[in-house]
Parts: sequence; structure tokens; C-alpha cells
Amino acid sequence: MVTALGLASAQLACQRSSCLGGDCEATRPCPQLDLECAAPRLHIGAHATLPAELRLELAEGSARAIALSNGVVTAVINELDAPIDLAPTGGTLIDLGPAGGRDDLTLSYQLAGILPADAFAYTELEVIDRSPEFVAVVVRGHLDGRRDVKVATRYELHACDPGLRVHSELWNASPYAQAFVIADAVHLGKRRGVPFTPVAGQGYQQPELALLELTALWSPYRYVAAATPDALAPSYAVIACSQPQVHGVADLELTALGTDLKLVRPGDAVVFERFLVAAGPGTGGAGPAPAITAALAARAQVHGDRGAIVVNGRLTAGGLGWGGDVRRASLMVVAGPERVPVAAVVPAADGTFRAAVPVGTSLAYELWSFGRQVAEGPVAADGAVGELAIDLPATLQLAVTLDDGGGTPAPVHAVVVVEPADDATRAAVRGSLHGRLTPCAPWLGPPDGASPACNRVLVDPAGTEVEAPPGRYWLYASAGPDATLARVEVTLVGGEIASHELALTALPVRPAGWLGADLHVHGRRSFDSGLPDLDRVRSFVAAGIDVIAATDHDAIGEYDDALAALGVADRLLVMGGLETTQLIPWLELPGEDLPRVIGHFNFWPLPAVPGEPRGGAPWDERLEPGQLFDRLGPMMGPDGVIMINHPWDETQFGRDLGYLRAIGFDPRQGLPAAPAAGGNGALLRRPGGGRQNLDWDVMEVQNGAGADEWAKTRPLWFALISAGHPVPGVAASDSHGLRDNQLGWGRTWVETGGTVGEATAASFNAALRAGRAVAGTGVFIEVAIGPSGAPRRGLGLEPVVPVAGDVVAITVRAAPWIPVDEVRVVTSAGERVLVRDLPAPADPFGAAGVVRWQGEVALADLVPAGGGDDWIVIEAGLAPPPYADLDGDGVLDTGDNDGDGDVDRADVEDAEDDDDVGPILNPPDPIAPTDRRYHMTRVVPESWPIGFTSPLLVDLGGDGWTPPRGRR
Amino acid sequence: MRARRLLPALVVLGASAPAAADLEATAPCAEHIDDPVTLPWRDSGIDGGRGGCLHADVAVRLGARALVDTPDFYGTLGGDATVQIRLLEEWGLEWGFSLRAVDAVFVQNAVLAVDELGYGPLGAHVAWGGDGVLAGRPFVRALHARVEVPFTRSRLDSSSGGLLVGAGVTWLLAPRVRLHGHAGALGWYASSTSGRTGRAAAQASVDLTARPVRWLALFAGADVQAGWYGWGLDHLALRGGGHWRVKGLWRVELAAGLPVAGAERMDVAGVLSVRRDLD
Repeated sequence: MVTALGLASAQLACQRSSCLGGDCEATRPCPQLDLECAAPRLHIGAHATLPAELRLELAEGSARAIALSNGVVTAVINELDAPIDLAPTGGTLIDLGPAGGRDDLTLSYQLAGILPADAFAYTELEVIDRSPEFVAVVVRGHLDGRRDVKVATRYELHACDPGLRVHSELWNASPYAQAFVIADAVHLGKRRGVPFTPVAGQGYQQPELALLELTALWSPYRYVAAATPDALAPSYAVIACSQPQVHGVADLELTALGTDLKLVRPGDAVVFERFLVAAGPGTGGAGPAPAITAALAARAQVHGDRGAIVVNGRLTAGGLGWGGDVRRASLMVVAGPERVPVAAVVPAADGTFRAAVPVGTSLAYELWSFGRQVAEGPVAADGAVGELAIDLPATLQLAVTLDDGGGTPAPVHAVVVVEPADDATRAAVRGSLHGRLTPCAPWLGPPDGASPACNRVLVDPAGTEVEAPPGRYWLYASAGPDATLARVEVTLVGGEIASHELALTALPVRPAGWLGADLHVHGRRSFDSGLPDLDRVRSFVAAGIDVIAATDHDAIGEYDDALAALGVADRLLVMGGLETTQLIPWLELPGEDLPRVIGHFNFWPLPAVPGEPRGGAPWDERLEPGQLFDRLGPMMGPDGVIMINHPWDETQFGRDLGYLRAIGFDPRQGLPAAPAAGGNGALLRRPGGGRQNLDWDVMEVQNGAGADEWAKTRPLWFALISAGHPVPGVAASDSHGLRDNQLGWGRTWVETGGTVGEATAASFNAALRAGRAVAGTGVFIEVAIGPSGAPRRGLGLEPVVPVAGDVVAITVRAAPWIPVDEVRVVTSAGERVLVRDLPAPADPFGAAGVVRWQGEVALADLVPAGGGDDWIVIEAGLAPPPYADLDGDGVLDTGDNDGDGDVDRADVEDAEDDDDVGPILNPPDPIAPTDRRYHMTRVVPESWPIGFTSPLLVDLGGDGWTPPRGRR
Repeated sequence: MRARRLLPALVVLGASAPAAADLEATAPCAEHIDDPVTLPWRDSGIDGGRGGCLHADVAVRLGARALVDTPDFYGTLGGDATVQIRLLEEWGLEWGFSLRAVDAVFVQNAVLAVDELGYGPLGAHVAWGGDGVLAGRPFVRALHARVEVPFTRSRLDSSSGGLLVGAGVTWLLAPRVRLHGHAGALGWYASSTSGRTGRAAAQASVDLTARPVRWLALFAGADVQAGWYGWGLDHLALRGGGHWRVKGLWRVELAAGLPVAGAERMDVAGVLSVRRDLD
């Protein structure tokens, strides 16, 4: 017996090729791959030393990260002390792309399961240079929460490979059997790369990822590809080498691909080898096809597949080659009677296209243009499609001018929305990316990408030309809420050019000295945004915004290059910033079964630090808010602002997005005398010994343009003011692209007393923190307090000490196309409608009728002299939508989802559980042109007109303001 | 607390049973159903102790165990059917084999769940007995070793083996009451492409069996183990069950146990066996 054990051990020891307990050099991933090239060139070293011609545009790896390149592809492995996202350490693949091309990978990290404990955490990194054969990086460690489960990954780049060979292994030295996988988790980004899977009924359309169904969704694929629908974007693909297929899930939010689910007993090891391909758009076109072509070639060598045939042809329109843009054309190749999608390609600019597909059953193509399938047909046995001809679209030349009162309208940046003018057009032009992503009518481009996106066009002062399918449309032009809305009806004819100039007029919505700001904005540095910097900045100016806080998820970014390139640096104050986005559940709260995260917080200004991980942002996982504030406070300096974002937002994949919801804040209660682990008492904790968990400077009361987040957050804000924590309320867009949330909606107007050219981050932030702010979706509220006829003060957190005869003078202004129905006053005693049923301006496209209401209210009527100190918030806009608090927790939770005019249990989706409530959504956009929200929602979808002031604190006795719930 | 009451009760029950001549037993191993039921905690089954009696029999043994650790989002269910044979040499040596013919495991880590239906491991054992008298009452003892043969288990590129060496004793307290003790050392070894690992533990157990009627023995006991999960107590577990002489040479065992202290995460284990005597 002992002999048997000894023999067994000796036998395995002789065979062991492992990066954990054996010969790592012997673990050559995908050894069957054998590619040759004319001039092999290998490089490995610090990212900063990578030759310029091998670098990746938009790479995120720091200067100290390890870069590998062979002149074909470049990969960057981040350093061990640079954890990002859910990866608890570096050693993960942060950049990958065609050498000298673009990186479109946010992060690829290894995991064994969905728990944070099951992420690979690396503790050693080894660089191996075996040029001219290969270069490699080996990282070793353990599962983050299971130190007795050892892991290693070897990234190996050979001289001629169009991709990275990767070997990962996991060894269960724990005493427990486990259900594990080895998988690469990739945030393609729900607004960036789109996965492509060669499965019947899929292609671009995979089942939605539901974590609870993950075991059932974990599926095998011969290959998986992905590409952002952009002519310049690289494409990616993966094949398994150590097993016939790669298993996993492919989703816009999270793609995880690796082994099948395995029962891993104590002592067992799992090995997974794969080949990650990156390919740039080439002469055969763009889209997933270039990477699929390389992946199929690799499969032929690794698995002996019968090889591929190349589907090829040429697309023309108007007799000329037609392509170069996914808007113009995209071909899907389908195989067999089940029409299994096997490749997709965007024809090159000259109309040619080439897409390798597996040899097999009969092939056919589906040709899409402007988001609609326009043709289909068979593919010949040799792959030839021949020449395909489609109709030319119309060409729309757009320009927008603004008359700012100077007498001469000047061309400006603006947003033009192309809206079908009749049902026939709407039905004819509604499209999508092969059925994926948000459908639009017309589909002028991928909704999350560059302009034109969906049915929206960013128009430059020099004019902008776009192509659109024929039809009858309304063109809406907007430059933000400080200008009129222009509209013109057009009929577009295929092959013809239509030129239209839309004229706007500046409106006196906000007084001089006020700046419009969007303090929650994402761009391509966020894992879930793919909007190019240039278009992001064009959207800033097109929205009439003056001040931006660039708040990408877990990365500090600025827009200096884009501002300079567009020549608009003097028109905008852009502050670098950060939205901390915890992803690893860790926060244990009393009475909660599952750990939580602390939601999202914005911090600005923060300078980006080039060459540092995450642009210099700290890793924000496993920290309470107070610890985050302590850590980021010194980085921001005295001018810094901390904002709690969407405090009651719903969870997403088990991750809390709002801190107050996470801790179970109860707005019906005040703040307790002592800190506590959960509930309201958690706000008083000083987890780092410095700041309290509620030491934010402003609260994002309105997130996006809708009423839902505002309606939920409003009582939380009011409760904390009453409890002695008065902070200004902010409205911000949380925009990630051109179609999701409109930049500048909501926005916060701040009284700096000067122009944007005179403003600095310090002066702007000081004014904001002081409460000289009005926020919302285009409804400005001017407030002055004091005796009639005498100098009055305006908004601000400096308490008002009233004297007899003081009045609150209110002026509500809004562009005529933004409906305003009523004006409200809110105090701790409740809400009071000052006026309702305000008349609408006669012409929503005109310039008259900006002042919607002007009036005075005696201050003593709002805060009676005999009572206690109080606060006042003025609101205006439409009356809030019908929402209700069905679970009685003090926060609105359910809307009129069945449209019957009331809110009750019948409105609850999935009402089987008595505890279920919701959803609470913004009311749907009207379809009747007579609806008062119709025009506004063409320009700002899912919007609701709202305006609200920062709180005014009324100190009746002049002895210092006492919160209504008493001093803490 | 309940165990403290149960053991004396069983002793009293057994001692006060009718003293019919056919129920008398003067030898500790005269009736197989006086043996304690082996109840392992490891899924390979190697760690089950034994008494001091040597026997020859064949058995089909159904085992089950469950671990549900909600806070850690982990759970495992296991079930097996094992065929066992024990043979007895005239000169006092028991030896035999066991083959886990059906091995069903379900493991869930959060939302990842996997089940596997397989077989293995193959086990072998040997035991050498002796007897004596303590405090005027006879006892029997057995030194034994059990091995889980490598290369018989995992579907992955791994192998594992285990070894238990120990001694069991069965002491006749009263005509129908026996006290069984066991002490052993447990070792386990696994090797894969990525490394080798091993675990070891010391274990001891005590069981009291009593036969209130001729055809049924009830037992209760406890076992303790240390070292498997590191320096410390693995478990103190309580167990109990019955052993039923069904007819002639056929008998049925039923037992269940649960850890009450220590690092063991398993919640419960149980066994049901059908045996036929060969001696």
C-alpha cells in the first residue's frame, strides 16, 4: 500500500507540468498552434518602455504594467498592486489589441465562481523572455477568499500569433469539494463591445444574464467573438485549447468564458488553456469577422477542425462600393436550416467584405442597413456572394444657429433629433444592431456609440452630414434649456441630399452669474461607456453646459485633448473627478443575509495622474463612505466636493448603487444619538476615525431626466435636512452615451457671480457647497428673501434670520417647450402647492413666455414665527407622477404601472410576495403630439420637468439654526 | 445534555431486559448486531471507526451526508452505495474490500451548482484481533488498517489515497450491553498536476450498544477528531442508531450523527446498510 502511494506520487511528479507545483516552462499553452510570419518581433517590459508603434490607443495599463507585443498584437498585464474592478489584484489582462491599434478591452480577469472570494488573487509575478520564440508573464496566487485554493496564470505571446495564449490552473488544496470553473470575466461594457456567439438563435442576441440561473446558462461555444459596432474598433475572439469548446455566458454586462462547471474535490486541479485573439479592422471589413477568421484558423490547428471558407463579396449602392460603417451595412452569415449565425462583418469602405466561417452546411447571408434587414440570399459553396446592391439612403446636411440677442445668429453645437413624422415612416425605419441594443426609429447608428447614435445627431458649428433612411421626419434641434426648440418637417428621399438649418434663440432662463453644470458624467474611461472623448465633449457644448465633473467609474479622467481639438476649452470648465463604484460585496449589516456595498459617490476635482493605475484613483473596495472620504479628501484638497449619488437606486447584480438604500435608511426617523452598524446610525460612524459616513457635501437628488429617482430621493434629502445635515441638492445626468441619459438633463445651476471664463473649480465648488444652486430638468427658480422693496438675499445655506414683513419672492422660468404646471413649497411640515394649472406658452417653439410664474409669499406663512426653525425648498414643474409608498418605509416605490390612474398592489410586478413593491418608473413618453410633454420628450426621452432649489434655512431667533428634529 | 441521559438509560434498559437463555451472551462478539454502526464523515468513507469484533459478512451500504452553509453560500450533498466484503481467517485475521459502486455528489458554490455521478474509491482493510478480561468482564480488541487505493476517484487529472490505522475494542458490560471504543490515526494524500497535499488527524470514539430485544440493538456514541482542518478540534459528534437482525443471516444497520462542536462544517451524516453474515 505504501509502495502504491509512493509509486503514484513519483509517477505524477515525473509528469508534472504546472505553474504551481511543477515545471511552468513545460506548460506551453495551446502547443498545437504553429504560425509563421516574415519578421518576428517580440517585446516584453514595462508598459512605459513599449515602442510607440506597438502601443495601443486608449490603453489603460499603467506605466509599470507589463506589456507584451509581437508586432501583431499587444497585451498589457497590470502590476500586482493595481487591482481594478472585481479583480482583487493585478496580474490581469487590462489591454489587448492589434499592435499600434486600439484597445477596446476594459479588463479580463480570472475567476472560479461568482463570489468575490472566488476571484483569482495573485501574489507573484514573473516575466519570462524567451525571444525570439515567445515572451510570457506568469502570475501565481490563490483565490481571494480561499487561500488554500492555489491559482496561476501564464500569458504567453509567440512571435507570430494574432493573440495571446493563456494557461490558467487552479488547485484545490482545501478540505472541501467545490463547484468551480476557470473563466475569464470580461466587462465588454454594456455600451461597448457586443458579444457574438455561433449558436442558433443567438449571434448578437444572447440570453440575458441572470445570476441565479447561471448554472443553466453556462453553455458551450466553439468560439465567441466581440466587437464594438464601430468601424475603427478591434474585434476579439476566444477559443479553448485544452477542451473542445469554451463554456460560459456572453452578456453585455459581463462575459465569462472558460471551463465547464466542475466538481473539484480536495486535491484536484483544473487547467484551462485558451487563445485570445485580437484583430483590427482590415481590408475585408470590420465587426467580429476579423477575429473570427483568426479564431477559426487557430481551431483548425488546435482541434483539427476542417477549416474555414471565406464568405466574400462586394456591396454597392448607387453603383459605387458601399460600406465602412455599421450604419451603412452589416452582413450576418448564417449556416444550415437552423440559420445559425456564424460570423458578422461590416464591409470595408470600398464595399468589399470577407468573413471566414466554419466549413459545414449551406450558408446564407442577411444584409442589414440602418438597423434593418434589407436583403438575404444564399452563399455559394466557395463562399462567393457576388455583388450586392442596395438603395442609397438620403443625405442630411444639418446646421443649427443660435441668436443670442446679438443680432446675428451664429452656428453652434447642438443636438438634432430625427423623429418619424408618421406611423408609416416609424414602422419602416425602426431598427437595431441585428436585433441587439436599444431599437431606434430611425436607427442612424448604434445607440451607445459616436454620433449619430440612435436617432440623435451632434451638429457642429461647421455643419454635420449624416445619412438616414428615406421617410418623412420632424427634425428637432436643441442647444439645451436656455434656448428655444426648433422643429422642421422634412421628407428624405434615397440618394438625395437635403440641407436644413434650424434656428434657435437664446432665452433668459437663468440670470447672469449662474453657470449650468452636469456633475455626473461618464465617458469611455468608464467600463460601461464607449463614447469617444470628442463626442463626449461635443455633447457638453451641445447641451449648453458650462461646467462638467468628469466622473468615470473608478478611474480619473479629463478631456483636455478633446477640448483642445474642438477649440472649446474656453467655453467649459471641466473638472476631473471620479465615481467610486464598489463591486465586491463586503458590508455586513444587522439583519441582512447578504453582504452589501456602499453604493456610488462622486468626488471632484481630481487631477488625473498619467501612468498610474486608474488614472490615480484609489482602489475603493471594502471601504465605508467615511473611509473613502478620508482617503480622497486630501487628493481633492479644500476645493473638493463629495456627492452621494442616486441614494435609493435599485441594486444591480446584487450590488447596491445607493448608500442610503443599502443601509436601510429610514427617512421617518431622525439620526440617533450614537452610531450603529446599520440603519440611520450607520451614517454617524467614523469608520476611519476621520469623517463620518454622512459627510458628503451635496446629494444627487435627481439622477437623470426622469421623476423616478427624484421622487425616491426627495424624502431622504428632506429627512436629512430636518435631522441637521442640510446639503445642496444636485440634479445630474449620469450620462454614459448620447442616448441613455441626455447630457445636461438634469443639471444644476450654480450662482458663481461670473461667467464660465471667470470661474475656477474653487469658485464654482465653493458656491455649490454654499447652496447657491438650483437644479432640475430645465426649470429655473429664482428666489429672493427679504422685505418688499429692499435688497434681498438669494439662495444659500447661510441661515435666514427673518424680520417682520419678509417675503419669499419666487420667479419660475423655463423655455416654452418645457411644461411647467405648478409651484410648490416644501418645509419640514410638508408640501404646499403655491399655484397650479399654470398656462402654457402659446408657442412651444417660440421665445415668449419664459417667465412662468412670479409671486411673493410671506415668509411667516411658510415658517410661522411662533414655531421652531425650519427649512424651505421651492419646487416647480409638472406635478409629480402618481407614485406610492406601498411598503410604508417612507420612500416612494411603485408607479401606476397598469395605467389605471391609481397606484395599488395591482401595479406591482411579481406581486406574489407581500413584500414586493415596484417598479417605480418615469411615466412613458407620450405618443400624442398634443401632450404637453411631447416635444420635450422627443429631445430628452423619459424626462419630467422638475426644478428645485437648495434649502433655505430659517433661523427664527437669530440664535443659530436648529434643525426641526433638534440639534445633534 | 440529552446524551448524558440517553446513555444510562440504554445501560439500564439492556441490563434489566428479561434474562431469557437465548438472549444471554457471554462473549462480546457473539451477535453481530451488537457491533456499532460505522459512520464516516469524509466522503471517501475511510474515517469510520470500528469495534473490536472481527466478522465476515457482505454488505451493501448506503451513505448520505449534507452540508448547508448559508452564510458562506456553500452546500454539498453526498450519497453513495458501497459494496463491502469482510472475510475472517481462522487464525484471527479479518480482511476485506469495499467498492463504492455509486458515488453521487452535489456541490453548490453560490449559484454555481454541479453534480457528479460516479464510482470509487476502492478500499481494502485488514484487522487482527485478540481478547482479554477487564474488571472481570471480557473484551475483544482489533488492530486494523484501512486504505483508500489511489487512482480510483477523481475524474480530473488527480489521484488521492487515504489510510486509517487504529485499534478498536469491545467490552461486555452486561449480557446485552457492550461498550465499544476506537482510536486511530487518519492520513490522506492527493496528487495532481498542480501539487500534492495531505491531511492527517487523530480520532477516537466510544459507543454503547444495548439490545432491548433479541433482534434489535440500539446504540449511541460520540466521536472526536482533531488535526484534519489544522491545529484544533475537527469535531465532537454525537451519533446513534439501530442494528436489526431481520432474519437468519440478514441484518440492517441504520445510524445518523451530527457534529456538535469543532470546525467540521458537515451538518449531518447517515448510513443504512444491509448485511449478510458469512461467519
